[in-house]
This record gives sequence, structure tokens and C-alpha cells, in this order.
Amino acid sequence: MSSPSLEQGLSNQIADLRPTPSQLMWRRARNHRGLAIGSLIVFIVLLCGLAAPFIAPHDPYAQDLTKRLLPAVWSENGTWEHVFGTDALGRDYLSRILYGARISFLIGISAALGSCLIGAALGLLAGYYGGRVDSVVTFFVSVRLALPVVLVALATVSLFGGKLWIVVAVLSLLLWDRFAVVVRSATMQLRSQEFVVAARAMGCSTPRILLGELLPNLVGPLVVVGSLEIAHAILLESALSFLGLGVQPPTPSWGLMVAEGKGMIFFDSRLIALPGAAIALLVLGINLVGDGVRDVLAPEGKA
Amino acid sequence: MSSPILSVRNLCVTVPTPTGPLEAVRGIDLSVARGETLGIVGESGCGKSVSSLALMRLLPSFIKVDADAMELCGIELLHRTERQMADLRGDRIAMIFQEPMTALNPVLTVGRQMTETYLRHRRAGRREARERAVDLLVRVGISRAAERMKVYPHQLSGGLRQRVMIAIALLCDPDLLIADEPTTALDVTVQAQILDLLADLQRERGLAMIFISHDLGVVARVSHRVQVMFSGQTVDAGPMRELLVHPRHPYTRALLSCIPRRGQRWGKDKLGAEQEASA
Amino acid sequence: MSEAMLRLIDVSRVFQLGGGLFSQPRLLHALDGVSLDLHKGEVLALVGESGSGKSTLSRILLGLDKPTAGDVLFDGRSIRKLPRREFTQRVQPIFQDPYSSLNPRKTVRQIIEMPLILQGRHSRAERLRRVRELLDLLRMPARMLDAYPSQMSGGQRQRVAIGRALISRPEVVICDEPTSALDVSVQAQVLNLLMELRAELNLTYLFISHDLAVVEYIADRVAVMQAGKIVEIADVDGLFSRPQSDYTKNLLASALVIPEMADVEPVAGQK
Repeated sequence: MSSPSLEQGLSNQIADLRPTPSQLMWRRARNHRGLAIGSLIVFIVLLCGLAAPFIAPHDPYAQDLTKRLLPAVWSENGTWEHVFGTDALGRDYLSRILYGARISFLIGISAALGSCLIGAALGLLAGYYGGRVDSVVTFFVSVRLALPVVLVALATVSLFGGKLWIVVAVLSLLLWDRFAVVVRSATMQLRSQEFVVAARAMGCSTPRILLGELLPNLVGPLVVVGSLEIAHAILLESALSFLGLGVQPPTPSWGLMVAEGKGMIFFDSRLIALPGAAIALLVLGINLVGDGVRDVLAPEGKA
Repeated sequence: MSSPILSVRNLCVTVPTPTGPLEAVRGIDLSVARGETLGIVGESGCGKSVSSLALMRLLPSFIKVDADAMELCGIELLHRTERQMADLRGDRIAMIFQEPMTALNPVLTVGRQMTETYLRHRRAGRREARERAVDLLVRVGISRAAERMKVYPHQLSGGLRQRVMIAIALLCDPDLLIADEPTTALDVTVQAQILDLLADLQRERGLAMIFISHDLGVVARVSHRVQVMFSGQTVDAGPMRELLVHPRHPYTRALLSCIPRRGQRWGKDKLGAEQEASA
Repeated sequence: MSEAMLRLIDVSRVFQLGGGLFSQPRLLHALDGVSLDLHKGEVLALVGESGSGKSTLSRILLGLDKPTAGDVLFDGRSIRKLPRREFTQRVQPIFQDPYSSLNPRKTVRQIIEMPLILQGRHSRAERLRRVRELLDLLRMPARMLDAYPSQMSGGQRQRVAIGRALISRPEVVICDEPTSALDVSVQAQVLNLLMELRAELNLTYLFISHDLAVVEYIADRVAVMQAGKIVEIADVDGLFSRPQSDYTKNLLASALVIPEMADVEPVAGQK
């Protein structure tokens, strides 16, 4: 048995650097199967949306009444010219689905960003100041939770019309509660840490403490909640569009396409199945990414 | 000296980590006789707490514990089932932890926790258990013991809580008492009282005690023999007095030189001089 | 006698506990008429057990809390009137727990240069130069610049915390139990480092601790606190050889220093 020397003890203290937090995260991320599958799905759908003008075989708005309801390539009489066939107005279905990804991402991401902004701001203030500020914010959260999301969204959109920015604004104002709750509790834990006290003692202003010291520590939870809220917003947008109160025709939106196809459900189920599958696939992918990101960022919280 | 209460040979504890197995304890021997206190000293991460948890078989099952021998009064500990171990814990071996608040159940009264521990291990009536509990509370220096039985842990000060922990540990007259940093969370004046109490009880009952601490000053106050641990191994061992007067291993010397002594001043007598000399 | 850098005049801090609509709030006198002078260049130790008010005192000295009564003078001026920026530049803190006093999302360089950024007078290059200088002074390798706290040992973290406190070239450093979360060998290094830096940078320390052995090693004067009051203040030789108050005597008797080589008395109370 060789006895460890004192030098060893000392060299332990100036030992080579341990891996950085980001290196550790990469290590965990690489071994996470759900995250890999989810990111692949999201990446492909995103690519389809971004590259739609280049890869879409036809103009998604171009109607051709001579080519109404052409079948998809895998059914009888299908042609490679219209791989997914055409809709009731003779528009190329594949092109519309590719363009539809843009709308879903646009609405999902902007609504999540908007609600993140509202929720994180309220949560930070509530968690940092506590007391009255906290009571007010908690009250707002309770009020928001008491509102039935779909009904309020329907009412507002029918009042102000289905413009894209209105849909985004309404969704932002309805989805911020989870951000606020998560950020509030995380901030409360951080607030009592000595580095926050140290920053105050060094003379940091409150905005600097909130944005410079606390916010970087909240990135993890925000990303996790954010990805789940993107999926949530995409689903809500589809629901609103399906009910005719979201994105207005002729914009290619998956929810709207399902709505337009519902009359044909018994004759041509592809009109509903294809956009429906697209929605399900994207939401599944985003949720997988969200769960994966949570595991990667906070492995100890995984029960 | 009589045969040891506890004898452990070549204890190894291995923790699997993503970057390969980590040997937290690498072959230590322990032996404690009746009426003797063994101090274990070392800095954080040296494996002292892990060793004691391994003795109690309280480590989670994915951590591998191995030894050539691990016996308490001739009872083999290493291959006992969890059920058999649970019968021993609190009865033959008892343990006191650093933070008494987390070791006590916050929603049960002190009296309830004490009587239940006793009834878990002994055939006795509630009344007898209660009397025994009050007796011990009195013995550990808690005044108005009968009243304090009805109190919840958070209503007691840190020092009192630690006294309650000691009383619970002694309920069933264990053969071996393991104290893991029992005074680290306490104020110095309270710490001194608790240490004196432990030393008194140990002598009075002929307990075998293992006393674990990072603080050589604390260990010196209660221990007969001491083992110095460093990165999972015993680097130095011997009777307390001898270790303090003639530390053999350079690590022990360095450790001793890092502890401020009475009358030691910056500028006259530098701390950790030994450590720097050998670095 | 040299001038007083910090002077506490009859400082009290009263907390109101509980107290609802119908119940009277209970008053907790965390500080009860504390007067204390911290002289330029000295190490004044503040000793006390938990609840003695030493943490409240340090919070007030750092401007994190305001006294209910009394005043604190820094360099002859009341800290109520002193600009916050000037005060924080000249008085800096070191905290107890290096595991929570450093922001886990920032690198060593970002942590140490923070006080300079707050002053807003230094270019990027100048800040980097000062941080490098300081790492040198702290006996830390330059490759630590971009390390995160989670990559470092407790001793290294506490060095970074010391670096953050010293970069603005303060005159007074309030050390709140800076070594009580560290192992003894690391504690020795950090104490020695603090004392070397004091000589090199001409610093004044207020050193808050519960550990009498540490206090005896580094302090020039010692103030003993109990229940919000200062019960005894004396220079270090006087306090340890001729303690006046009963509380100090009790503290000294309870302190567990390694017994002198000659008279090792192994087990408590064994005669």
C-alpha cells in the first residue's frame, strides 16, 4: 500500500480544471435519446418551413379549378406532379403543408417569446421583492388561471379579427402564467444566495442584479418552459384556426387546412390526416426536446 | 485489552460515476474495544463519513461496499439483509449525525420518537418505554424532562436537539456509538458541553465509540486513539497523545501545523509552515 | 492612536417579529447600542456565537441594512450621506460560503472585474490587466481566468471572492467568517494570504468569526459580542491572557485548541 504523499494533497487543490458546466451539459446531451429524436424532428420541420420557397413544387396560393381534389401519389391515379394531391380549390397540398410549417413556427415561437417576456418579468419582480409585489403578481396569475384559454382567445379574436399579430398577442397574453410561476420560485431560491447579497454589497443596482446576476441562472428553466409553451401555442393556433377564428384563409395554416378538409372526411381523409399528422409530429418533437433539455440542464431533478 | 467490539479489515467503498469507478474508501482497518473512543480525522472528501455509513450499511445500493471482515461483537455485518441490519441499527449500533434537525422527525414529539425507537427493539410496555425515555433525557442533562417529552423538535435549541439525539442513540444501550461531526453545527460553548457529555456517558456505560470530525481539536478532547484519513486511506494512527506529540506521517504534521494554537500569531509563527516546507 | 476608518456610534437595530392585526409585534434587539472604532491598518476581530448580532452588524457596515438608531461614520462622514458608489468602492465584503457567494453562471474574470465595471471608469483592456495582476497576487494561475466556480475547489473559490473584494483597491474589507466553511489546511492558506495582502495593500480588516484560535492568530484587537451588545473589547494579548467578562472567560474555556504538546490531556474531564 503506497501512502499518498502530501504533495498529492496539495496538487489536489490546484488540480487540473474540472470540466466546464457546458462541457458537462454536452456530455449529458449526447447520450439523451429523446432529445436526439426530438431535435431531429424539429430540425426537419424547421428546415421544411425555412426552405419552403425553394423546395415547394408549386405556389401554395395558386388555384387551379381544373385540378380539384387530385389524389396523392400513393393512391390510384396519383401523379408525382402533386405528391400529396390537391385540395378543393386545386392548390398543391404538399406546398401548403410546407408553408404551413412557417406559420406554426412563427406563431409558436413569437407567442412563446411574448409570454416569456411577460411571465419572466413578473416572476422576477415577484420573486426578488416578495411581499406586496409578490401578492399582486400571484393575484394576476390566479386571475389568468381562472380564464378559460380557448374561450377568451375565441372571443378576442372574433372581436379584433384574425390577423396574425392579433393571434400572437392573444396567445402571449394567455400563456405567460407558467413562466411567471417557475421564474418566481427559482428567483426566491436564488435571492437568498450569498452572491446576490455580495452584488448588493458591491453596489450593483437592482436592474443589474435582476438582469446580470439572476437572469443567467434562470436560462435553464426558461428554455424548458419555453419549449413546452411553443408546443402549447402551436396547438392553440391550430385549434383557433380550425374554429375559423385564427389565421384567416387563404394563408396556409395546418389548423385551417384540417378545418377546410373536414367536410371531405368520408371521401378524402388525406385532407385531414396529413396536416393533422404534421401538427402531432411537430408537437411531439418539441415536447421531446423540452423534456430532454430539462434532463440535460437539471439532471438531479430527474426523479 | 479485551476483544474488540467492532473489527473491520480492509474496508473498500467504490462509487460508480460516469467517468469510471471512484474509490471513496481504499482499504481501511478499524477496531474499537469496549470503553474506548476511536477518533477519525480528515478533511472533506477523505472518506471518513462514507466509512461510517458503510459500517451502518446505510449507503445506497449502487455503491459497492467490500471488506475482508466487518464484525460487531462477532456478528458479521457485511452480508446481512436489510431487515436484519434494521434490527441492529438503533439497538446494537447507534449513530449521531451532524444536523440534529434533519435527523429528527419534525412532526412527531420528542417523547413519541423516543418511545417508538425503544419499542421497535424491546418487548416492553408504553409505560416502561416512557420511563426509560425520561430517564435518558435527564441523564443527557435536559431539565424538566417529562415536559420536554411533549415538545416538537423545532421548539428546541440546537444544543438541546443534539442532546435528544444522544438520548435516542443510547435508548437501547448500544454496543457501538458512531458520532459523525456531532458538534459541527453548534456554537463553541454548547459544543464543549456536548463533548463533555459524550465523554462522560462513554466512560460511565463502557461504550465503544467512533468519533468522526474534521476538527482535530474536537477529536483530541474525546478520543483515546485516533486515525488520520486522507483520500480514502488511513495515513496515520495511534494513541491520541502520541499522535499529537510525535506525528509520524508528513500529512499529520502538515495538518497539525495548519491548526492555530493558543498563543500563535501571524508574523511570529506562521500557520501551515510544515505544509509549505514539504510542498 | 491612528484615525478611525469606520466608527459606529451607539448603533441599534430592532427587528419586529410577527405582529398581525390583533397581536403586538415582538421586538428583537439584534444590536443594542453598539459603539466601535475600526482604526486604519488594524485587524479588528468581532467574536460571538450565533444570534449575538455580528451578522446584523456586518450587514449594516456593508450598507445592506440601516440601523434603527445611531450612526456609522466612514472616514469621518456618515454613511447615510456618503454616495453609495464611493462607499462600496472603499469598503468591500468577503463572505462565508464560497459555494454560494460566487454566481455559478459567471467566469472568474467576470466575477472579479464586476466592481470595476460598476465604477465605469476602466477600459476592457485595463480591466483585464487588473484582473491578471490580481490573480498573480492571489497565487492563482492565469488559466483560471475563464473557469467557472463549479470547476474550482473551495480554497480557489474563496481566493476568487477575495479577488473580487480587492480589485477596486478598497481600504476596508469586512470578512464575514471567511474561513469557517473551509478545511483546516485551506483555512491556513487563506488566512496567510489575507495577512500577506494586508501588508502589501495596506488594508484594514474587520474580521467576523466564531473561532477564537483563528482570531488569536490574526487579530490586533478583539471585540466580543453577546446578545446584541459588545461585552468586551481589548487588544489580543490582553483578551486572551486577562479576559474581563464572564462571557469571554466561558468562551475561552470552551474553545478547543490542540492541547500543548507537554500537557496533552486526552479525554475530557478525565483527571
